[in-house]
Amino acid sequence: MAITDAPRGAGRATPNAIESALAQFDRAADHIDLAPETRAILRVPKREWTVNFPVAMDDGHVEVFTGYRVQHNMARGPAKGGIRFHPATDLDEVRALAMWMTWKCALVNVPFGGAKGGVTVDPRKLSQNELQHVTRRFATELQGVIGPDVDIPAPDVGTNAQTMAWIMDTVSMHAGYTVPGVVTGKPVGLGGSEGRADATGMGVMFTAERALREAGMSIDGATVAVQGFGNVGEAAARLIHERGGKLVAITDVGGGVANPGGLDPAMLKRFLAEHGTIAGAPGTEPIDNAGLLAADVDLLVLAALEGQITANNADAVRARVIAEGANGPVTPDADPILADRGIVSVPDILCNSGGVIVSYFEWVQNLQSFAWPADQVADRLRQVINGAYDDVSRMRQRDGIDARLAAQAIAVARVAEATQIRGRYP
Amino acid sequence: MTELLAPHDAATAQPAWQLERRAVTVRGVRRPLRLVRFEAGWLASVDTESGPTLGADRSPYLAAHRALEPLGIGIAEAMELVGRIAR
Repeated sequence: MAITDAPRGAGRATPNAIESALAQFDRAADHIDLAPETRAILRVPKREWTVNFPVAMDDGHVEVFTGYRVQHNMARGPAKGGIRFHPATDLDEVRALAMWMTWKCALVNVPFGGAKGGVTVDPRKLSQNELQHVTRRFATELQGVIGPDVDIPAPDVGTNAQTMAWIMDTVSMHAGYTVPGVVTGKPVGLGGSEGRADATGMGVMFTAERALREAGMSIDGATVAVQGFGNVGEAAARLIHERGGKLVAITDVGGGVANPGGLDPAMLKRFLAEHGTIAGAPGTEPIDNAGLLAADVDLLVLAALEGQITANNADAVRARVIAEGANGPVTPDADPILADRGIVSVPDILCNSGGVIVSYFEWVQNLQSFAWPADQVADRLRQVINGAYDDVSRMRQRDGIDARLAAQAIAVARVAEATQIRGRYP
Repeated sequence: MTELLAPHDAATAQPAWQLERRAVTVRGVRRPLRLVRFEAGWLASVDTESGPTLGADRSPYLAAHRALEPLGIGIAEAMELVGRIAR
């Protein structure tokens, strides 16, 4: 599970997630001159729930947990977005993440709206039994809120395929029949898609490869630093390594490792499984997050949490290309600093869209009761994400704007179009 | 493919509208795309075999997309065809 203790920004001097999300939205809405009434609709979530629920812990005492589900927009289809288990999760964070999901789904043109959910909990402190109870009770609280035609959760920070299996089973128990399409990111044996586990990391690798090429470099031989070694960071690191990228620094929840001669992600994964962190792995030097963010590398992959590069530390970044594998890892006040220094960012809603693209494939496979082989999933993922990359790249170059604005403008325009065509009810 | 033509403003000092022209080539056929800016928004129109299309919106990109959609042009492509609009 990808839990990180990486700091979120540097206090209130930097925008938090919802402030970042709204600033990015306003900039895109200004760029396309969005009608005021449509802007007002898209600026706020359509629906949001806060649930408080008791769970009996292994020692018999009862704890009350707080969870959230926010559906930002459903104009283009059912809401889609992950569920995270993290001690710092709150409603504002979930609102921001739900909004980003709306734009992400629209940018890659899958027929979903945006949602996000979370429980304020540190899953590392719970037993598997306790985690299962928290998950099943949270899923029960969301009965009627989530469903294959309404809102389809997926794994996120602190959750995984097992979590999705518990949610699917809980919803199915209440329904009286199996409902595989209620979540994506399930184990393959339960209707999960081949390739889903690596999908976000694979998308990061595909888009980073394109960005490096546009910057006159190749992923083969590029020096790479990766922040985060969870669901996204591990897969991205492994796939980049397979393509010839040289991993020189990686951090996770427990610390970080560096080796200018190159790190072996397979060895680090084994070490992580045994020790709960990659810190201290043999043949490596320690590195902290500040050191990793300032590493002199060709590619910096941000695969931890939001708010990692801000106006306070953007000057220290020395990477040539940044791949935003996490949601909102670069705050709006850092964007112009990075751009002025010629650093290219692959924006989050494009870079980490591989997960939702393959989630869409999984949902389609579930609805059709038909499974695609892994190579077909990977081919279609590459096709969809490359198409979105082309759209963003052409607009960026033609209009002389940054990639984040281009990506958000396309996405907001698609959602605005759907919202306006549907009209107002009643 | 698109070819940018010079904008043609209304011939008054403070026009109530302004016309911008683009040329759009779809499947080898070159078609004029007209964009008319009003204070409240934009009208867009492109000639097709079945007559001119019409799109209207506050946003020039959404107006253009509505005019171009009958030709099978998606919103990203429509935004690219319109290009950056001077404010």
